[in-house]
Amino acid sequence: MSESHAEPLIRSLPGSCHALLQDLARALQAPLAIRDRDGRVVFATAGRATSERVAVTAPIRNEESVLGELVAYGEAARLQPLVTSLAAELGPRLAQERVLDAMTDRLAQAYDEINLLYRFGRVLRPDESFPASAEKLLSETAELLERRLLVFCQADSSITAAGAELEMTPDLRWLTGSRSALDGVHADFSRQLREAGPRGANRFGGRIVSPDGPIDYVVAPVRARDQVIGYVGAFRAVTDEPFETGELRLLECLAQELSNTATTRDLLRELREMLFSTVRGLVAAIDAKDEYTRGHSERVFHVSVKIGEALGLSHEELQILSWAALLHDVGKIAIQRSILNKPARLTDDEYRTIQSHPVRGCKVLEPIPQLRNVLPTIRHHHERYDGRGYPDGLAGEAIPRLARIIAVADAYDAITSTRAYREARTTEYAREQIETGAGSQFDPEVARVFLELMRTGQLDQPGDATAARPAA
Amino acid sequence: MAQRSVLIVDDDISVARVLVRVFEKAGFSAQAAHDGEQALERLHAARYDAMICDIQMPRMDGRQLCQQLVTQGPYFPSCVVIATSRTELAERTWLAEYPRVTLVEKPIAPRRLVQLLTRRLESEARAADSGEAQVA
Repeated sequence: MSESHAEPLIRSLPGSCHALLQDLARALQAPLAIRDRDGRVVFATAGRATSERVAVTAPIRNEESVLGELVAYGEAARLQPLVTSLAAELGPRLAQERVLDAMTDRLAQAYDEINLLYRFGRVLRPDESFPASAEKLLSETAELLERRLLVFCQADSSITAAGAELEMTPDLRWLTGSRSALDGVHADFSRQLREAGPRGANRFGGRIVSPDGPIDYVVAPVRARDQVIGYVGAFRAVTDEPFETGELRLLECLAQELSNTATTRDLLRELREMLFSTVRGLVAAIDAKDEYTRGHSERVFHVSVKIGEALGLSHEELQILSWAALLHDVGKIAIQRSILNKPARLTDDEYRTIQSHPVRGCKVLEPIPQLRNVLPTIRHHHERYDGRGYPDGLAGEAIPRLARIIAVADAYDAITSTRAYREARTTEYAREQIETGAGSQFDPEVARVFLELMRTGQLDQPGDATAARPAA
Repeated sequence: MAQRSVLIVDDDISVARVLVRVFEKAGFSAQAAHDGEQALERLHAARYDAMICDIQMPRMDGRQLCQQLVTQGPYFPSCVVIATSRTELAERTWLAEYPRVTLVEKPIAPRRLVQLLTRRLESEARAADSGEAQVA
């Protein structure tokens, strides 16, 4: 908008006025021209430059200001009154055209913004990671901001960059290749942000000097809820065209969309964390009812995730494993404590009751659609590799892989804990048991990985915070 | 290079005005037509390098205009961009018959259209310079 205000009123004549003046020139049988305030001819109909013709002029005004003058060439006495009244008509008309042009420019910007937002909506997927979304948002915007380098710099120092039709001149290459260059921008941005206050501007501009010349930039803050998590910036060599208003608005659109996406990501993560810790608490409470199983589910979860990570499971598989490990014994809620805590040998009936806990656990969780993919792992965590386990007597690869992992972690914790019917055994004893059971009770590959973790002392280390919670 | 010219065919007058304005600012000479018949008149009167055309229009729509240009002339501009909405995706089948047509999806971005036409016309000019292009 500022650009059109700075523009002299008659710099070029709006296209819609051309035809009108051509028609008038024909009707008057005299060539016409328009000069701006500095006397430059900005428009002329054909046949102006003949020596015998005299120039007749009249000022073009809108309200009080003089915009330029209308010139006709020919017989002065005949033309002067016509030119004067024509100029009086032209003034307001030209002023109106300028207002229309400014509106049209603003509308063009709005179309660009709508198009960009529409594309954002098309490319974003709710289940993808934040960096994947950020990369898409950046490259969609870069397509519109040709020849600008776009950089998304997060407070944790991760950088995403994009540029369409961009010639990576040495100065811009310097910028992306040097951490300290962007640090300079970051420091400047942080300062301006502080000075602007919480309700401050949506963007800040600045200039940094590369060894190959100055680079201009505009940055806009990216916020997750109200917290600034970084900035997104557009960079250009000063030799390139300056940023226009439309480009700055598109950069703001990008910053806004990144903020929205980051906020959604944070909210989702919190929700998942809250759910998981709630379930963790409940499971711990169930375990604690029985002094012999206190902390059991938590430890099985911990060991299972360690094994899963060592096996190179995907993020999704680790999530399923976390939930299954935490909930593997949930079916025991439905079993009498007198049976669970019985110090003496169990009768066959009691033993069958105990053995029903994986299936009961699935029954308990079945109504929760989000946990449906966890059920097979819970159902089969007591199967044996040789097929002699329960409830279905599955063998080898037929047992879900995650269930084979929990089987090892569960056995290890059971052996090393005190039970109603016996004292805790040493970890060395547990190691031997698992070694012996590899290939019969346990998946040999899972057992091997577990023993390796034990040997290198990794089981005792506190869990990795990112893996230990099933959140994206 | 001579000034490039573009004909904008759209029955939405604000879209047409926006596009004329952005193309003029980008150094093109630009004219608007508000339906296929008006576009035909303009194409008969002058030679355009490029045409941007909407599909749904009164009197003569974009599809009829393209057919008419191919079968009866006066000529098919060397660069044609057709704007379709998502609901008109079925239009892609008939558009496939026209070799020099590019599809863009609505809502349109004026900035993107200027970039697209500039690039297309530049690459065509380069191809013509190197003698690869055959004038039909």
